[in-house]
Amino acid sequence: MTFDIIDITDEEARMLETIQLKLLRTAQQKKDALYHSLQQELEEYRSLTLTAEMQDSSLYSSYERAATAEYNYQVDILREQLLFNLSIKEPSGEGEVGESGSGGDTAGYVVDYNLSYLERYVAVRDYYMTVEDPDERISLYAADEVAMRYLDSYYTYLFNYLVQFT
Amino acid sequence: MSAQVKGAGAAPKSREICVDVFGGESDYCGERYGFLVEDGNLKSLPQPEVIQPLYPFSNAVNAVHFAGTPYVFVFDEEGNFTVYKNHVLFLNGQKLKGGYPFVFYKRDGDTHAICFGDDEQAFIFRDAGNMRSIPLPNSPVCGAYHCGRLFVCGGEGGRTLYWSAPDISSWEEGAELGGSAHLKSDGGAVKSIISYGEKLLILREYGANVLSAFGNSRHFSLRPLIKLTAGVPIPATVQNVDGRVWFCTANGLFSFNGSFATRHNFPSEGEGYKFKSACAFGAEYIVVSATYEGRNVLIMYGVKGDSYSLFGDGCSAVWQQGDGLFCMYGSHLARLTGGSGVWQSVNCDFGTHKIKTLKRIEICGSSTLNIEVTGGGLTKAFRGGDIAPVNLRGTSFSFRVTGEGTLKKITAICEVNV
Repeated sequence: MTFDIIDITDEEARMLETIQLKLLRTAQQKKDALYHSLQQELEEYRSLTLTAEMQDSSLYSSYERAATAEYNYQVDILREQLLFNLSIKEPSGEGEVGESGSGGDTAGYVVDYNLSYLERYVAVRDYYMTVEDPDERISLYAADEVAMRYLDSYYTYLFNYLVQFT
Repeated sequence: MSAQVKGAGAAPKSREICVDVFGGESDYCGERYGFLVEDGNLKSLPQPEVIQPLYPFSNAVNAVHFAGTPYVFVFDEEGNFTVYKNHVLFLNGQKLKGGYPFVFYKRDGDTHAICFGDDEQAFIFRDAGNMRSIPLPNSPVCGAYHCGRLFVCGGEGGRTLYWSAPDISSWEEGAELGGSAHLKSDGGAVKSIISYGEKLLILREYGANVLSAFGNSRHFSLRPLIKLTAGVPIPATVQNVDGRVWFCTANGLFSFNGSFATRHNFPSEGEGYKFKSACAFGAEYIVVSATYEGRNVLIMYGVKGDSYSLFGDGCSAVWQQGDGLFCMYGSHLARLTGGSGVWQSVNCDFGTHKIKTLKRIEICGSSTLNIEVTGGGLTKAFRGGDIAPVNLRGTSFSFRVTGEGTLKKITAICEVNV
């Protein structure tokens, strides 16, 4: 995989911890998917302008500019999130397999005890990051008993992570 | 038919012949001015009555008025314009820098904004007379206000169509803003653009383009050129009336329904006319301001009867305001009112060259009409609505109708010796 979401050399990439590399790969995949969607969207619109006899108009270039600006905006968010995640200390999760359990029907995220602790951590973290207000986010998380059981020792890691936003 | 015995001896036999001089199957019209044929009747057309003296210039060619506003913009050939408010001079002699001055309007809340422009800028004209100018792109030759945007055609042959952002003072290109499109050269130069329902009609030298321009510009679409053989549209004659776009070319008057153009019963420039501008009068009449052999004249076309008539000698730059029809009359602003026409028949010999007696005429029409019958060197006058004895002897007779009103029929009854 080519990493171009951030400036990073192959050597620097090799130096990353597993969790960091996973974060990088995930972000890069999301960027690649966004780029693919952009290209598809532009191609569809180009066909539309041809059908509408508007190929000699500013419509395509205007649309391309707007769609590319939106793409760049989304990539910037991904990049910023990635850089932030890379800069904080999070659990590496290497070799740790999650313990089985039950419950979690009331949680907003998927509770699957077949997942490793790291995968559980990422799922719960992503869920709570969708809550826009940091204070509300941390108070909801603090009251989340399902997460406490589901993440076990990772619960504290995530708490420390989330509290940084308040 | 009748045979009469007069005195002793063999009396010459005679018979009566009835001819519908007007209103029948045959057309005895020799000359018609100020009378429009409608539903088989002759209807007199109005004449100018001066209501505003001292117009600052006399060669007015076009006038534009928009319903719901008290303003009328009158233009001359040099691009000067004058604004009248409620028929009183309001703004005098503004000069436009060139090109056909286009006009459009929009409603902004309850504020009327009427805009007009030239090569470089448009002016937004508001009530109270204050104006602000906005820039225009690429020396436009025509423009229109459509679906909340300003559209203009500029560049070489006017073949680049520009649309403004929904804020009409901005031409910045963008997805939610303005934009431009190049029209293919096969249609020739652009002559006029006009809002036509949800579409924008682009009239060109050799055809028309229809642009769907409703809502977000992202969804704009252009239909391929519809080829027209009508001739080159005269910009100031283009009108949207009753679901059709009407326009004059050197070949006469045409209407376009978005798919094809129809030629109507109307004179052409080859007959000595020069068409200048036009306005709709209700949904049933098109009034064209023209010159005929150098003098100003109006031509009324009736959609219902597919008929036309000259009227308003000396009038130009006609417009409808409220229920009335107005025009420039020399250096005056005038209301077209009342009616006065002339209908002159050809000589009618009732099918024989013999001397005959025109016994009587039956006139079905307004009593305000004057009818003159001439024959054998004598002329007798009658009023509309009469059944009148005539008793003129001659080989042929002519009939002349003048005045205001509607004429349905003239029947002449003649006695011819057999």
